This record gives sequence, structure tokens and C-alpha cells, in this order.
Amino acid sequence: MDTEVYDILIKIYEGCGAQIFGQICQDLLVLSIVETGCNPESIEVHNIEGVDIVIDDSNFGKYAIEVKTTKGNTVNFGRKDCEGLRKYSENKYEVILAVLKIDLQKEWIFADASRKKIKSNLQVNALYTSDKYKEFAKKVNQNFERLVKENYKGILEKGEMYLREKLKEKRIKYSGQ
Amino acid sequence: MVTITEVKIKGFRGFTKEQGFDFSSPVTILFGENGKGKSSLLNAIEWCLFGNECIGKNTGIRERIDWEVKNRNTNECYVQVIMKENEKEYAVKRIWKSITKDQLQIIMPDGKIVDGEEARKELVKLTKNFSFKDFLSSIYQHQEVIRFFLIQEPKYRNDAIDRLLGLSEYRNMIDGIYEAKIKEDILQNEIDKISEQIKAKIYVWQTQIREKTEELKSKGITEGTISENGARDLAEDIKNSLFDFSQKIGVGLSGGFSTVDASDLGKFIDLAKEEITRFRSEMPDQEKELEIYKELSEIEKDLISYGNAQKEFNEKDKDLQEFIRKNGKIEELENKKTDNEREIKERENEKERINLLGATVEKAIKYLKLETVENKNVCPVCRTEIKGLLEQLEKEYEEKYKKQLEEINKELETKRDELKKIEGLISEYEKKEENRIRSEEEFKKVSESIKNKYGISEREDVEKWLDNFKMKKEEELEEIKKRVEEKQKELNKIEENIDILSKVYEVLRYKIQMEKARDIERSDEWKRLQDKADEFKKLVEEIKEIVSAIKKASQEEASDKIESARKKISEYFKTITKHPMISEVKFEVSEDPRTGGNSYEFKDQNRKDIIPILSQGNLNALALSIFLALAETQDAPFNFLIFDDPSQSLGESEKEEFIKILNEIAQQKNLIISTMDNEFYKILQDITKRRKIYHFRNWTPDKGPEIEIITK
Repeated sequence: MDTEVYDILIKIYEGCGAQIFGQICQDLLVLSIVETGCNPESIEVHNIEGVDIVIDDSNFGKYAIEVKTTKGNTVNFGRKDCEGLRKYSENKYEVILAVLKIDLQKEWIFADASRKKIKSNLQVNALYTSDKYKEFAKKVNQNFERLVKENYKGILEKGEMYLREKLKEKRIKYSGQ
Repeated sequence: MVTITEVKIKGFRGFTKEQGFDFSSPVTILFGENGKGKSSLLNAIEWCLFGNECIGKNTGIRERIDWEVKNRNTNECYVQVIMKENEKEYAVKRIWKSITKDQLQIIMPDGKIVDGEEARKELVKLTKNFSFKDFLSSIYQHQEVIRFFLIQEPKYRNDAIDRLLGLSEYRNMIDGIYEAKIKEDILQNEIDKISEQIKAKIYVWQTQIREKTEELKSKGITEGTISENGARDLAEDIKNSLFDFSQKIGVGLSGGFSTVDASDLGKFIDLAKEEITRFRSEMPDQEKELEIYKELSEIEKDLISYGNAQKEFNEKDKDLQEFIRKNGKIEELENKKTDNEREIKERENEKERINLLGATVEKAIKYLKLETVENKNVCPVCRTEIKGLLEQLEKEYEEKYKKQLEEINKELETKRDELKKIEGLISEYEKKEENRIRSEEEFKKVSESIKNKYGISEREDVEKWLDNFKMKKEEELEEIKKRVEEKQKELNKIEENIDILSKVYEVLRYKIQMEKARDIERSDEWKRLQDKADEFKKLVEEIKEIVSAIKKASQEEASDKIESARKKISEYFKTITKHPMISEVKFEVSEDPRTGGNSYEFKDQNRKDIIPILSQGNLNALALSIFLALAETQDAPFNFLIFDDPSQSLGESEKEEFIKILNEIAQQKNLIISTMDNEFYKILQDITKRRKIYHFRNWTPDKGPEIEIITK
């Protein structure tokens, strides 16, 4: 990612803490996906229970995305995540594990989660964006960087509520706190 | 079904000269101590049939690593196995050529000799493509498998059972993959390292750009100036300013600077700085200033030398005047000297006169005092008689002459001292006068020289004139200084702009470098590298799937083999051991959760693990049971079995039961049994009737094994 984006993300991380930071990244990711052409009304964001992002757009496709952010080298892909995605996979959703490592060298990875096994320390560097999501990943990452730069002042002032409002404005279904 | 009837060996492992063995009997026993060549004979059969397949790590047999085929004491090495199938005889011969190469030759039943690829195909046909691993699991009961089976460590036992079941190839494949240490993130980590270096540089440049931009802004420089166009405009301004300045001072711009392109900022800045330095030193006023400085320094020098000469003269003059005032003029001193000399002369005359009279009186006294003089009252000079003449003369001499003389001497001494002093003063006077004259001459010389130098008229006071002249020059200098300072200020202003331009240039350069670094990660090559890393991750993922598939295949094959042989294993084990607690052996395979490989379990009729209660002999019996069961259930093309030291750790009764089983098998298949166990050999001899015994008695490096055929 861009050094400026990296600096902003670090500021947000330090200002909000790991958990809220994860939610902020998830919300920014949702907004980035919307900007790639997905109908916002077809998106459901689950902040506490269930798969993090579920998209059911007749034009865009059906996706269930489990979101993970980390400052370290690994992410935890637990039983709950695995089973949550499996259920969507059975209902013909494409299941994705979206991982962002807060690192200058990294950006969002959209790994095909259909064959991922439960692992408490999934190496971020072992993950890769599947060929079928490469174009999508490129657009999402570009949007994400831009949205981070555009929104960071608001985020630093109002925290995750700032993005929550943005999601609401776009009529994205949101469940959680 | 293929049987072995005869084997000929030369130069193979423990063998040197050619030796032949007949294997046509139902049971062939190879008996002898360790290291006498029994195993070499069994290995020779393997090598002849499978060549290099039975050598090396992949065999799963530890001792086969670095295994030497050819005996070191021979030049020739071959093994010929005569095999029979449906009464047709095939003489299969393998000749050693090098560590990696051998030659296969078969004499076909019709006498035709085939070799090379054709021979290989014929052998495959004859052995029904039976693999070496199958040979190990169902034809050749190898020592090492039993040795590992006896080890309590589950990992090694699982390994040994894999080999016993002929699954070592699967295990080798998995081990090979693991040994390659392929990890999904290797390439990505390397890419990240490169990226990290690039990003670290970008980060540093960004910080520099931010700091320098802030610094420039604090100096009132606008964002517009901190750009390529802004910098070019600023460079043009600087160029114009320097041109105007050069016109003003009448010093032309250098050729380099006149022609430099303002957009070539680095070069422009260097040349502009050079121009500034040059203008500072070549400014005409600056030169004038220097000139005046030099003049002033000269005036100052002349003033000093004039003052010094004057001071010197004044001092000498004052010194002389002071001397005169104190001691009088020279004429007076000269007079004093003359007077003094005259007085000394007079005194000396006086002294001489007194001396003459005194001497006469003194002589008369001396005469009168003589013994011979009778009348001491007669004067020796005038012959006058005077009473008490001697006493009178003595008194006169004492009072008149001696005293007078003393006074004159004293006076003379004083006069002479005075004369000496006057003479000293005269000499001092002369010296002082000389000094005064000399200093006066020097002063005149200095004064003349200064007057000539500056054209000062005779009437004018040199010192005053010089002071005035100096003052004028100082005023002139002040004027020039002001002018120079103004021009320096102008140059300072231009220099400040050059400094700003340098900083802007630095920012722009950082930006360019940063963009270049960013371009690396934006390049197609970088994207391709990242794609390769992803492909690599995908490949590793697929390899992992392959490993899973291999493990699954291994497990399935193990399961099939166990399933077909399970009943027989249980039967053989019960027969050999007659274990009181085990009436049934359930042999099962599952996935080892730790390694993902095969994990084998042996349970009794109550599904309890039997391994912890088995003795070493029992474990060997279990291994033999598995081998025997597999040999019986597997569809092998060979009608013989090979046992290499099968009685390890077996008890006497277990050996007897095992031999009984062997006897039964010998009804169907030929057996080749190698043993060093006397007890086992004895029972074997007693029970087995149709047998041939080769007793391996001795072994020497030159002759190889010394073998006796026991016929009784």
C-alpha cells in the first residue's frame, strides 16, 4: 500500500485499538466494493455474528467474505469462520477470505476460501488472491486507498460511527453494534 | 509361476570367484555365522532381478544407502539367475558396468540371447511387472524390516509396517516432498523483502520531501514554486538577476552559465553558485576596496617609520642637551681639563722640590745615626755643630717634609681623579653627539623618502600631510565599502534564491526518485513477479493436495492389503506364539494426526492394543505373520520365498511352530532360508526333509565365502 495510506492506517490503529480498527477496515472494504459496481442494497455487513460481508447481487454475483486484519504475520481462520463460509458455499456463494496485513508491502488479499482448512495461524504470506478475483482485488485496493485518504479525518474524529453513517447513507444492511 | 533353480555369482559384494548355487530343492538353507556371505547371495538374486532399484535410499532399507555392488578385489561382477516358468528356462544375467550402469542379458528358452532394452522387457514380462517393493513385502522377508518392527517407537514401527506392506514408495514420495521444504510463503517473503527496501526508501524520501516543503513554505515559498514549472521560473529569475548584476558591475557572465538550460536544474544551480562566487571576488569596487586597503596600509607604514625616525632623533638630541645641562658644554669641559692638568703639574713640581730637601735631611739623619759618627751634633752638610742636631733633624723631618709630602700626594690623587672624570665626560659627550648626528641623518633620509614618495613640498609637515592623506583614503574606502555592501546584498538575495531553488530541486529530485521506486512496484515485471509468487503458492497448495492424495492412496492400499491378509495374520500369529491372552489379532490402519501418514494398530479380540504386552519374540512373530499372510494373499509371479534371519528373538517353541508353517508353505513354494541361529537351523534340519544345505564356513577378502554343501 501507499506510504501515506500506511501512515493513516497506523494512526487509526493506534487511535482506535485493534478491534475497532478491524471494523473500520471492514467498513472501508465494503465501501470499496460498492465503488467497484456492486449494488449497495445487495450487501449485508455482519459485525458480530456470521460471515462478515455477504453479497447477493444478480449482476455482481454472490459472495460471502470473511474479513481479517492483522499487524502480524498470521491470521486466525477458526472453526466458526470455516463453518460460516461452508454454509454459504453450499448455497452457491463464492467464499472468500479477505486479509489485510497492515504493512507497506501489503494490500487486500482475496483468497479462495473454499478449500481453506481451519488454522489458528494462517500465514499471510502463504495466502494469495485467486486468479478469478485479481481484477476485482485491483479495483478494490485502488478504491480502498482512496477512501482511506478521503475519510481518515472523519474516522479519527468520530471513530467507526463515521463509516457506519456512510454505510447507512448507501443503504447497506448492517447488523451489529 | 517363476521359480529359481540356479544362481551363479562372480565379484558381487562378498563374492570374488564364480560360485554356483542350486535352488531346485523345495527348501534351501543357507547356514553360517554373520559376515560369511549368506546375505550377499540373497542380495545377488535381488540385484539380478531389479538392478539399481534395490540400491539406495528409496529402497527404504538403511544399509542399501552407499551399497557397493562390485567386490573391490575383482574386476568382473555379474549374477546369473536361472529361472523356470512352465518348464521353460531363462538365464537372466546382470553384468555390473559402473556405479550407475549395468547390462542385462537373457538367454531365452530357445537359446536366443537378448540384452539391453529387449532384455529388460523380457524380464518385466517374466516377472509380470512385479515391483521391487512388492518383492520385499511378499517374496523377500528382509532382516531390517523385522529389526525395525521390534523397535517400540511407533514412528519407526509404522515405517517398518509400511515397508512390510510395500508402501515405502508412498512414504518416500511424501518424505521427498517434505525434504524439499517447499513453503507457500518463501517467494512472497523474498518479494516482501525487496518491497520493504523500496518502501523504506520511499518512506525516507517522503519524510525529506515533507520536511523540506515545510521549510520552504515557512520561508514564504508557495506550493506553485515547489513544482517543476515553478522551479524553472525561479531559475529564469535567478538567471535574469545575475545578468542584470553582471551588467551593473561590468563583469560579463561566464560562457557556461550563459548557455545553461534553466530546466537542467542541477547544472544550473552549480553554475549559478560559481557565478556568485566569481562576482563576489571580481566586482570592480571590490578590487578598488582592496587597493585602498593596500594604500592605507602603506600610509600607515610610512607614518610609523617617520614617527620612529623622528622619535629617535628627538631622543638623541634630548639626551645630549640633558648631558650639557648637567655637565656643561664641551669647551668648558676642555678648560676644566687643562686647568686640572696644570694644577697636577704644579703639585708634582712642588712634590719634587720637597722630596729633594727631605731626601737630604733623611740622609743626614741616617749618617748621624751611624755608630762610627762620634759627634752627632756636627752637620754632615755644612759642618756646623748644633747641640742635639740629630733629634732636631728627626723632628724637622717628621714635622715638615713627611707631612707636606703626604698632603701633596693627597692633593695629587684628587686632581688625578677629577681629570679622569672630566676625560670620561668628554668621551661621553662625543658619543652622544655622534648618536645625535646619526639619528638626525636617518630622520632626514626617511623624511626625504616620504616626501619624494608622496610629492610633499619642503614646507609641509610630513606627519600632518600623511594624516590628512590617510583620512581622505579612509573616507574613500567607506564610500566603496557601502557600494560593495549593497552589491553583496544583491548577490546575497540572488544566492538566497539559488538556495531556495536548490531545496526545491532537492524536493523534486526526491519526488522523481520516489516515483521511480514506486514505478518498480507498478511495473509489469513486478506484477509478473507477484503473479509468480501467487502461482507458487497455488503450486504448493496443489502439492499439499498431492501429499494428501498420496497419503490417502497409501492408506487405502494399506487397508486393502490388511483386509485381505487380516485373517491369515491372526491365524499365523496365534499358531506361532500361542499367546494365552490373544485369541485374535485385529490389524488396523488409520491416519496419523501428527504426520498425516499411516498409523498401524494391533488389537486383540477385546479391541485392546496388544503391542504393550508383546515380547520381542511376539513382535517378530507378528512381523513374520504379516509377511507370510501377504506372501500368501498377494498375487505374486514367483513361486519362491526368501527369508533372511527370520528367527530373531523367537523362542524355541515359536521357532518350531514357525518352521511347521514353513513346511506347509514348502508344499507350494520353494523356500530359501538364511539363518545364523543354531537352534533354528537344527529344528529346520529335523523337520524339513526335502532340503539342500549350504554351510557358509569361512570368508576371506580374496576368496570370498567358503561354502560346504551338507548332503545328509
